Amino acid sequence: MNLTHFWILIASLFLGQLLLLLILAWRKQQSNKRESIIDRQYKLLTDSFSSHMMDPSDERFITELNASPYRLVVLERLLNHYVSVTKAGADSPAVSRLSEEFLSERYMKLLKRGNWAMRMNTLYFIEDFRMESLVPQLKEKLAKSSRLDQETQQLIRTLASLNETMAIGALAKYPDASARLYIDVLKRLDELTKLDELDIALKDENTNQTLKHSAISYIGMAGITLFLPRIEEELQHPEMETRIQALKAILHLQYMNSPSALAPFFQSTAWPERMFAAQIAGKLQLSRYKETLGELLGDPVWWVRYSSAEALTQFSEGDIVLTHLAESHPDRYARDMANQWKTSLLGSEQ
Amino acid sequence: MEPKGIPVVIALDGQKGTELFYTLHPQMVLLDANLPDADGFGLAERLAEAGRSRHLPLAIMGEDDRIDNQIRAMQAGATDFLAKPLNMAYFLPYLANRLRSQEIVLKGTRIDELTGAGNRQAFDEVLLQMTNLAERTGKPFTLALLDLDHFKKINDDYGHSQGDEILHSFSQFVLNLKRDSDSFFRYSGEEFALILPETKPQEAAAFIDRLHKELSETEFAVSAAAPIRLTFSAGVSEYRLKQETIVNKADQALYQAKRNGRNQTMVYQSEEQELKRKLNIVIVDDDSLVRKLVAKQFSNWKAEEFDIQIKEYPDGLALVDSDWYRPEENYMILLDGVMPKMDGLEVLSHVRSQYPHDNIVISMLTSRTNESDIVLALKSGADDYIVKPFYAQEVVARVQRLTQRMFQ
Repeated sequence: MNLTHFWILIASLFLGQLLLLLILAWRKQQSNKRESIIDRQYKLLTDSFSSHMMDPSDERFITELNASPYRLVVLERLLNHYVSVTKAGADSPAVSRLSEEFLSERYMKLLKRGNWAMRMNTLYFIEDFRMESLVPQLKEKLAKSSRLDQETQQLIRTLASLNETMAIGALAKYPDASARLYIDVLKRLDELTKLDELDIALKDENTNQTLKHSAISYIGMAGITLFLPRIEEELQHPEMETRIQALKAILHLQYMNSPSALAPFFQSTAWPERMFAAQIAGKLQLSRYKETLGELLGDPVWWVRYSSAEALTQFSEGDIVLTHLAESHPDRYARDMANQWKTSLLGSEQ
Repeated sequence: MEPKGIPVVIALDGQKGTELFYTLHPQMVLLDANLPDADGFGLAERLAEAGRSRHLPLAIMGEDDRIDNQIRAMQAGATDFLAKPLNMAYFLPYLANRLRSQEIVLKGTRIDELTGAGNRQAFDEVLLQMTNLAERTGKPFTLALLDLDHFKKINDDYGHSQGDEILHSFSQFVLNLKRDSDSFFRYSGEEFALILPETKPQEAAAFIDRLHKELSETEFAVSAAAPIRLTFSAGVSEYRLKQETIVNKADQALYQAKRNGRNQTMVYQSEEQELKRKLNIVIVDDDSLVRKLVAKQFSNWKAEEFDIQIKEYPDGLALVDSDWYRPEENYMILLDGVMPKMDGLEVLSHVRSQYPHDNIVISMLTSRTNESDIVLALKSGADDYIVKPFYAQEVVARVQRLTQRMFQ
């Protein structure tokens, strides 16, 4: 290769780079231009959109929207913003109507052909806008998926938000589905469907233990006291994990029909059961267990000692009991724990 | 005390108490010996000194009722020392007793000797007290100026001493018919003033028309002549917030009554827009959709007692830099917590430090939901805290409740 060829190569490489740079700059400029038009359109339509959301008979927004060159993007942004700032947003019939009318076709295409980010965003929008007409497409997509990746997880959440109970069945196909995901699905169902599904999940014939644990956990978190007798029944369950979930739920519900059912847990060989039993005794101020709590203050496990002392502080004369135990408990660790809580009680009083 | 017809204002500390004392000119002060920010005895001394001319009853209340504290209270100028907890069975009669005594003492210095009505000094004091109370509580009152028709002719025809008799008789006539809550004064010459608390001008006009009717059926004796009948003209004006010209307006109405042929009542009528008070709803949010949604929701609020004007600002700095404030108007500011350029809390502190509190209600409308933010906002002077996402109707309902006190 002589020098001329070398220079030609250098020049062509340089020109190639320059061309690439120019193309990128042009694309960026185009995208900025598009964004600024969308931004302008968004601001322009905010007024008529607000009026339309308050009074759907005000058709000014529809006329203005149809005249906009980027109507779908602008509408998507307006709706997305609306559901994020207003409480009524997600259940607003106007949001569903507008999204079904203008966006369903676009979302159908995106679900099939868009890239991952686009598909994920679409799933979120379908959930937020409650677009029921897309349920068949979502079900079809779910049937095709074989892995519980992020997209499938969101697909299942979206179906749940559209009150599709098959979302729970779909999760059951994946043994690695987490309790968190089950809870996500349960909380998205509407109130009546949710009660039915929780009922089914708690039944003995349900062999899906993750679902059962999630259901118990969710009942506690959501404070659904309707299920309290069923949760108390689960305290007799042969599996420890189920019993622990039931104890946790009772702690959240802050109520028990039969406090005597708690007694065996203070002698359990599993320390989490002893710990939760102590916490419940304190939270519900079950004074019949005050003596037991004093004994548990000398438990070999720190968490149990800690929870027992904390439980004692919940009683009206808890400080006196702790002072007494700090001096007279036969176990040194129990005396230490009582002292620690006694001091913290004094601190909170000051 | 309030069910007994004694209006009460409460201050939680010495500073607020002092502020209320000087703005409201209360008839009596009850002061705790232990205040969070001041020594009750020291404050009592200052208030007793300031209230001496109006014979202010001032009671110090304390849990420690040892004789030392009672002596300190007396030395500070307090009229009484009350041991806490208060014995309510004793407290109310005690209060009534002190207020009655004060009234008797004050009567001697505030009564117009000729007519028995309040004198001009008393009128000025009561008017000041009523305007301050109206500013604080939003409760309006009405002033009526009553002027005897053709009084000069009575003086000319029957002599000045007979004229004085007529003034006395007329004054007693009104004093007998007025409500207990109304205050009646001799304003000047043959002109009298009647202050009617918590009374609309139309109600006042109706009452004065009753006076007209009764007066038309009443004869006044003049010596060595046939009894005469009197007529008077009246001008009525309602006190509105931030208004300093109630006397002028009542006077203008009175002038109008005279021009219309006397023996009648005129209510001051300004232009329609002046009559209605104004509530400015100021929405400060960098989110244009939130501004529009809230503004649209407010645009449906049709209030009878006041005009609503909605103003939007895209950020805190835009509000602070603008000339938004008019002292005679009322404001409800909805403030976003997070904004570029100037944060919602900064705007809140600025407004609270630079402008009066009475006519500005501030509510935060923000996505900051943790407790410390809420506490900080309330401590900085926010009246309410609304969290995003919100129900637009709920925002309006809360604002309506908050602004009620400005227009009561």
